[in-house]
Amino acid sequence: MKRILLMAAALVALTPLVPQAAMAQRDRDGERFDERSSYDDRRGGGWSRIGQIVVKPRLEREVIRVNPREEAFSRVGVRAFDGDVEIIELNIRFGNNDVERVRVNKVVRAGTGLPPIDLPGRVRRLREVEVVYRTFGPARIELVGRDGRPGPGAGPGPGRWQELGCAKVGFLEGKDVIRVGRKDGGFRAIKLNVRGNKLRLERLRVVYANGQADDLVVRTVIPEGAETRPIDLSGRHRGIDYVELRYIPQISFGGRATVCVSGL
Amino acid sequence: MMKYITAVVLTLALTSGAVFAAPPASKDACLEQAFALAEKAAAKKLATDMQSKIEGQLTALEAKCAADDLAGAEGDIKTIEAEIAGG
Repeated sequence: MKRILLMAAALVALTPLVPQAAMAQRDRDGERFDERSSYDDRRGGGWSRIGQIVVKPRLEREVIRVNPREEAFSRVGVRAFDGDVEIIELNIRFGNNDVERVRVNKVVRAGTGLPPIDLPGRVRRLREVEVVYRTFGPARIELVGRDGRPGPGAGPGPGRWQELGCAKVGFLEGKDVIRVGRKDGGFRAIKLNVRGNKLRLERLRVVYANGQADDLVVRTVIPEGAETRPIDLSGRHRGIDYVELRYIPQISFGGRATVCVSGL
Repeated sequence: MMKYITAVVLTLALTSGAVFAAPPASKDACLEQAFALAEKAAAKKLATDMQSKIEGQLTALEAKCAADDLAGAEGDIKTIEAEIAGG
């Protein structure tokens, strides 16, 4: 009898604990918690907003580096794959380090592309393109370029390299001026070729028809018979008045170098 | 006496640059030094055989600069400097 009484007393003592434990569990369990009514401060629950985060797709920026051996381009385009992308802007860095900011602010649906973007200065060599974008999930962005080479049969003129003038490299003087004259038309790039001996070229100054000038530190050794890469000129189609070359005079008398400037 | 000798040795070492000589910091710095040497050589009236010799050494130095062999270039720079000074 004593044992029965003891068991009954124990049951009575433990009974209130079970529902309390179950309720506590329910409070911690998000799925069972009715947040709509429980957080409603109008019902006098004592809840107030501490702070908030607005969740939205993040702005991202990535740089697409362009292979320096790629040809020059006249137009670029952007295509989206595997998901929609909002293109905010493109920062296009050209071969001469000029940067062109193209504001886009357009959503490109997966499998479609932006309308082609014309590059300033007709045909330009690209160094890199920074794409500022937002995605709404995984997606792939592709940058495409349209080759700017003149087509077959292109006649002489702005689409082709033309020699602007030459100078003989001295033994004492480290400077030469090649006069071009504005009558020779507008150019977007120049290059130099060297014959007779190598040339240690320090810097170039391109003075345009309007008097503005570009100072370019080149510091390169151009071997005999070789030519530089095309050097992009700033701005669009420009007339050149003259090109000033600063170089290291030749050390030995083993043949004078002749340097020629060509324009495109 | 000892103090005097130490001071002289230190002064010589510092002014000659031997203590703090280091390889060029970059490819461009390397080429800049090579060009400075070429300019120095062009300005100096060197004997014909010396001109050819220095021209060859400068070509080798410029190749090292282009190949980013800056430690190798450091030795060449010292050699050419000495050649020009002696020539």
